[in-house]
Order: sequence, then structure tokens, then C-alpha cells
Amino acid sequence: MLFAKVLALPTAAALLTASSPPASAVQGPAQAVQAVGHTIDVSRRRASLRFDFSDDSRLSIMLAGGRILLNGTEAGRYQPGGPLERAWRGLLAQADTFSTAGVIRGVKLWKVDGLAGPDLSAKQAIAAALTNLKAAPTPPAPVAAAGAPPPQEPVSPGDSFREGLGEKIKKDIRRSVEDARRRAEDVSPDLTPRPRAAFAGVGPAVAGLLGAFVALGCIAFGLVSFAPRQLEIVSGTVQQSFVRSFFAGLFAQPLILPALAMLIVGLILTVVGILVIPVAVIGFVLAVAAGVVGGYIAAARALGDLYLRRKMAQGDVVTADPTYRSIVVGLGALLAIWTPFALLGWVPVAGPILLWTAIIFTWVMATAGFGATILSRAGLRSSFGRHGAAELSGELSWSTVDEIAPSRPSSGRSVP
Amino acid sequence: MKGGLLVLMLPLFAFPLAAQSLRTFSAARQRAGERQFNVDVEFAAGTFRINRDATGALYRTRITYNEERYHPVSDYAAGNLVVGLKANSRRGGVDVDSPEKTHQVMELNVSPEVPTSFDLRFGAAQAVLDLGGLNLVRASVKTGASESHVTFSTPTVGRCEHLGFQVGAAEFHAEQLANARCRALEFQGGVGDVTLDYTGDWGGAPESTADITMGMGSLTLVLPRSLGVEVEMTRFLSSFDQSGFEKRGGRFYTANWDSAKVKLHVDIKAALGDVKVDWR
Repeated sequence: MLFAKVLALPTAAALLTASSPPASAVQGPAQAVQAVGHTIDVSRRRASLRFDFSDDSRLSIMLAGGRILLNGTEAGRYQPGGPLERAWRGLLAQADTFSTAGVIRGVKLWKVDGLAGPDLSAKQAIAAALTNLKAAPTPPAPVAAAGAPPPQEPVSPGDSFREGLGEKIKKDIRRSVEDARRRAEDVSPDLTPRPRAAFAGVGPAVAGLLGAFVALGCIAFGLVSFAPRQLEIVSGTVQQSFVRSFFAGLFAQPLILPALAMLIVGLILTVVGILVIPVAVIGFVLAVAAGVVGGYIAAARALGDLYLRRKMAQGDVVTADPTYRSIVVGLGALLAIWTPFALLGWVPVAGPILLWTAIIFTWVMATAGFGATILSRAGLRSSFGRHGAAELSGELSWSTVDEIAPSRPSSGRSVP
Repeated sequence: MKGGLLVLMLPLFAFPLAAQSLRTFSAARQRAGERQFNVDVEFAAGTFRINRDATGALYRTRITYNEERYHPVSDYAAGNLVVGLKANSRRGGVDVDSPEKTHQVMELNVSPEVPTSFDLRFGAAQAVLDLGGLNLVRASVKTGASESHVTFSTPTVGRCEHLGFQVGAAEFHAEQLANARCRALEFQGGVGDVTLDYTGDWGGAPESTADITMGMGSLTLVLPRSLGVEVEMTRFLSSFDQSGFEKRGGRFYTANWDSAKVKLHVDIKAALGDVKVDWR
């Protein structure tokens, strides 16, 4: 495997003597000029290093698309994805936490084995550009400075060998460069949990609202398919006797638990019925839930029905099946009250107001629907609904829409 | 109906489905006798952090970004640094709580040696700024839809003249503001939860002012009991927790107002929100 080898002993001067760089290569800065800053940019398309000098001049070395650019001028070519590019990217990835002096030391110690052809020439061009590179003296670090310790940077080769640690440093650097190269290939995201913004719940809330719409829509379509007449009667009851339905539902709500208790007591008294209490409780809960949900859907249908009839009375043509369409429109209208809360629920003060508005509105409609279910005996009794509605299917009843809601009110025909 | 459904479903499409490509950008500069350092940051989306530099550099920055949607900016000239992350014009836009927002990170370390002014602007970002220990002259923080935590973990060493915050729809917490030792604080908030924590070390500063304008939201003032506080309140449909204050004329004063060594004048203009005081 070819990878960057940063060795301690070779210097940039030694590298330069191996071969002369191409004539087009940009030479390094004058001896007196010192690097005071640097920029490293490693992306999929390019890997660049730029030094800023004390005289405001710059030196940029960029590997991009098989070309080496020194201050924007092509100075050579390299094999994309080859050993030189991999080593260069690894070096830059490792150096991105270094100070400018550390980066200069790093690039001067940089060596890549196994280069040949254009990669070798390109490497020599880079080395030539770095010939006179020198870092400005680092000012003393502030005594009181706190925070994370500065990253370890490549040390001077002479020092390391004087201390007898050359071999260890070589291994450390080689290992860190290899790690850095791996990081450069796949930059792992910062997985530290972040505090969530207050409005971060908008997406899930809107998704939840859509989910509720889809779920209720599916149940409603099931009801239309399997109990169309019952749904129509309950819906008609809501439409024709809304206030009565609401109060029926309101008075029924506090009676739910006593009714359940009476059911259980009654079953206990029969002794034999004790065995079926669990089933009865589950059945009762399901019946109440079905009454509430079914009533809510019926209320939605009544609302959609009203809206579509008015539209048709104005002469608009409804192409889709009016029964399904009225349910979709009605559910959309009922759930639309939750939209402001879903979008602005995170706003203080306004959020709770919107929430309670939506809760109260939904409760009113569900109560009216539940009451209509009770009044119509789950859609079996049509005395509170539209007369004749029970005898007609949804499709047929729509054929007589003009009779129900005349398009010309001035004609004097009354709405039944 | 179709239009309505589309409107409801629009936010879902704001979430990117494709994998992102995170890249790195870094820049640093050594100190070279600068007398003033102006830092101008524009950060589009992600997590932004500022800390004090401990290596002797003038500044060091490191940005991890999604190159498909954003590009880094860094330019230094004569004591003026412009740095940040901007949206590519081709595929810009703001994602709420998107992966870019949570995984893109910009870290900026600034020298505590050079008098520094900050001009910071965030888009859909989470900002964690520790300006403590810096040689702070002035700071202006403008946020859009963001969650920002500004902390002064240690006292600043400069002579801070002005601290300004303009916060849009956001959650904003400024902690240990006394360590900032700024003469004046100006806060303008749109909607959101705001906490201004005035604990810390005042360092002998005799008095400071806070000019706070709140739109719709909740403002919590964290005040040390040793501080003499005067509150001038202009409110519309807002509640104000008056515990710890006594009313004189049209203003609220703490009991120790006349004897307190450090005094804080607070001018609050609030509409449709709560103003709470947390005494420490």
C-alpha cells in the first residue's frame, strides 16, 4: 500500500537536489518574507494549501482534477487518486489543526515513496515552491490562556534525534498521517448530541398531522365501503341536528364510565357473565372509540358535504365521487385547525393558545359526532337526519343536489 | 384541495434525502503586532463555536461543511477577518433541523491578546459562543432561526463598549454577562425563549445598561441579589414578574438600589410575552 511517509531526516533542500522542477513552477518566497498564515481546503474536487506572507503575498498549492496549480498556474500534472494525491490529502487532513509554523514544518518533512512519472515531477514542483518557506516567529502564548491543549505538531528533526526519540516520532507521525488520510477519505460527522432548537418540532408535528389525516381518511374510506348508509345517516344527523347532537354527546360523555361500571356489575350479578367481563370491557371501549371516531368522521363528512353542495350550487362541477370527496374535504377542514399549532406551536404564549383552540374545536366536533352516533343509534335510525337520506345511496343523493341546494335562490324553491 | 395538501406536505420535502458529503476547511494566522482585530462571521447553517485561542495565533478556524450545498469563506486583510460558511446559490435554502444543520461545524478560536470586535450573523444555526477571556471591544450577534448560547465563562480583559444581540425566531441564552463587563447591552428579540443571565464578575464596573426589546416570547432575567437593578417597563399584553422589586413612580427598583456597588439599568419593551426574573 502506498501512503505518505513523513520522515524526520530529509530536508526540503535534499529533496530539491534530486531533480530540478519544471520551469513553469512558482518559486518560493524571498528569504526575508515569512509566512504568517495559512488556509487548507480539502474537498472532493480539490485539495489546496495556501500560505499568506508578511508582505501580503500568497502562495497557493492546489491539486485539482489531475493538475497541480501553483498560485493558479499549472505547474504539473498528477495521477488523480494516485499516491501523490492520497499523500497530499493525508498531509493536509493531518495539518488542519496545526499552526502556520507547524504546517510549514509538516510540508517540509513531507515525503512520498514510490512516485514515478508525472507524480514525481509534480512532487518536485511542490517542493520547489516551498524552498524558502519560513514561518514568522511565534509570539509567546498567553499565560492565562485556557481551553484545550494545542495539537501536537511535527518537531524539528535535529531536536528529536538529539533527544533519541527520532524513531518513535517517525512512527507516531506515520501513524497519525495514516489516520488523517483515512479521515480525509471519509469525514465522520460530529455525533455529539446537540441541543434542539425550539422550532425543531415543526417537521414532526406537520408529519404527525399528515399521518392523522391519512389514518382518519383510511378509516373513513373503510366506513364508506362497508357501512355507507350508517355513515350517511350519522352525517345527516350532524348536519341537520348539530346542536342536539352536540348536547347528546356532551351529556353522554360523563355517563360513559358509569355505563361501563353498570355493565360490569350487571355481568357480575348474572354470575355466568363474570367470565365475559374482559371481553365486554374491551368491546365497550372499542364501541365508544368507534362511536367517537366514526362520529368525528361523520362530522367531517357533513362539513365536506355542506361545502361541496354550496360549490355545486354555484355551478361548479365536482368530478370525483362526491362521497369520498366530501370526506377528504371535511377531514382536511377539521384537521386544518391543527395546522397553526403544528407550525407555530413552539412560539411561547401563542403556542398554547393555538393548541387549546385546536383541542376545543376538535372536542366540539367529536362530541357532536359522538352525539349524532347516539341519536341515530349508530346510523340505524334516521329520524334526526335528512329525510329520505337513508333510502338513497350517496351517489344518488348527489344527483338531486339542485333540489337540496338550488343554484338560483331567487326562484323561491326552499331548501328542505 | 390539491394546493392545500401540497402546502401541508411542503415541509417534508425540505428534508434532504441524499447522503451529504462533509469536507473540511481550516485557516490560521499568527499574531503580527495587530492593534485591532475585526472578525466578521456569516454562518449559514450548522453549529458554530467561538473560543479563546490558546496557541498564540491571532485566529484559527476549522469548518466541516457539506460541499454540495455550502462553501467556506475566509479572507484576512489588515486586521479584518471575513470568515464563514455560505449557501451555494444553486442549491441554497434553509433546512430546519436537517443533517447539514446538525453536522456542519465551524470552530473559531480567537487570540485573547488583541482587542477584538465581533460581527456575527447566523442563519439556521446553533451557536455556542464563549467570549470569556477575550480582549473584547464590541460584539454584535444577529441570528435568524437559531438556538444560541453566548457565554462569558471568564471575565473579558478588554474594554467592552457595546454588546448587541438581534435575535429572530430563536432560543437565545446569554450567560454570565457580568463577565463581559460591557457598558451597554442592547437586545432585540423577535419570537422565542430568551434568557439574559447577569451573573459573573462585574470587575468594579459601577454601572451598566440593558436595552431590551422583545416581540412575542418569553424573557427570563437572571439577576444576582447583590446587584442594584432599575427596570423601566413598557409592555403590551405581557406579564412581568415583579417579585424582588418595589415600584417607585413608573419604575421598578430593587431594595438595595441606593446602596448597591454595581447598578444595572434595564429598559424593557415587551409585547405578547412573559418577563420573568430569576434571583440568584
